[in-house]
Amino acid sequence: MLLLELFWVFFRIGAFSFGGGYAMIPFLYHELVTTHAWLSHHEMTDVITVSQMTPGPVAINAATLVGYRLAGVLGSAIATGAVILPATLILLVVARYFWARYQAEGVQAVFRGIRPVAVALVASAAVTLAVGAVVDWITAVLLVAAGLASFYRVHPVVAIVACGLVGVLVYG
Amino acid sequence: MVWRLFGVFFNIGFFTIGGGYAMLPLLEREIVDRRQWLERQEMVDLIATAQSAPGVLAVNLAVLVGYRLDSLKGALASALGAVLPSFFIILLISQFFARFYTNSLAQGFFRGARPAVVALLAFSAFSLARVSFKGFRAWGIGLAAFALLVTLNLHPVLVIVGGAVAGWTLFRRKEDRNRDVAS
Repeated sequence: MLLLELFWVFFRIGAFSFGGGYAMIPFLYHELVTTHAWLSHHEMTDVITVSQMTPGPVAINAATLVGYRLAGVLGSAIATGAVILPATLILLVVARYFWARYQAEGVQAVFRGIRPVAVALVASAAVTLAVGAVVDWITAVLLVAAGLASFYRVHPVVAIVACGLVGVLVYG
Repeated sequence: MVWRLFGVFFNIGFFTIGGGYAMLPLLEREIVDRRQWLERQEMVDLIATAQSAPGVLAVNLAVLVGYRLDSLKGALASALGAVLPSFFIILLISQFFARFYTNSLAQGFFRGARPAVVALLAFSAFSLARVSFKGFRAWGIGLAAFALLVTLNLHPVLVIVGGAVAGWTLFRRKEDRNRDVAS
């Protein structure tokens, strides 16, 4: 039963790929290319490229695309649902328990240690993405311009779309 | 509230170019600054929790923020809002995959948009640091974590666990916490 297998594979991907985003790629590759041969190596590269070019998390994009290839719209809905289900269930349980104890002494102490780490994760994500994003002097200028825009409280969407339009004019 | 949550995450979903982290600047602006549904500090805690779970960061964060603001139905509405934009876009693209893939206008747009995402992310890290880095110990943990992540490419979950242990060790006793706030 293809739909059931599709569900199960993406459920496993959702349950065991920690780190999100590009940390999921080795796991996706193993399941979809090596084990099930649902995608060729080349197609997997294309999925990653499209994920980089389009909005949306790479795992959702891969699930939607593979599901569609194998079983149409229903397949993509099942694969996408399956990939987000494990974390959603875990986090709902965590949220119930977590918000009940959020103010407790020990929990607050732990979070005072975790908060700087969370910020460091965001900063390191910026560093990682910068490697692929700043490729010439124009993209460097756009980086500085967007930085200034956010300093002057320009809405992020406005900054993204404006830089994208510059990209269309320059590279398109 | 359910519809407003769905709307916020649905709109943000169209602009998370480059993965889940890209949604943070937008989420911060919409939910902390504009609507003031959450404190910035709480947002940092939710980000850390979302990072600690497996799966897709953007969806995890949507579930947590949604649950925090409107319990189960908020969580489901937010998660659906976060997923649907990329779901629709990919469905659309898979109809004419090759044509979009080689479309130079689309490539140009994303090539220009990517550095903006990086800048916004860096700015987000900066504004989150201002509320989270209180005292020299927090600075120490943050800088150590950043160095470990960038140089050794350590797994995020490992670094978060390290931060939790450091927090428990350094801030557990009340007098310690007060002294650190004063420093």
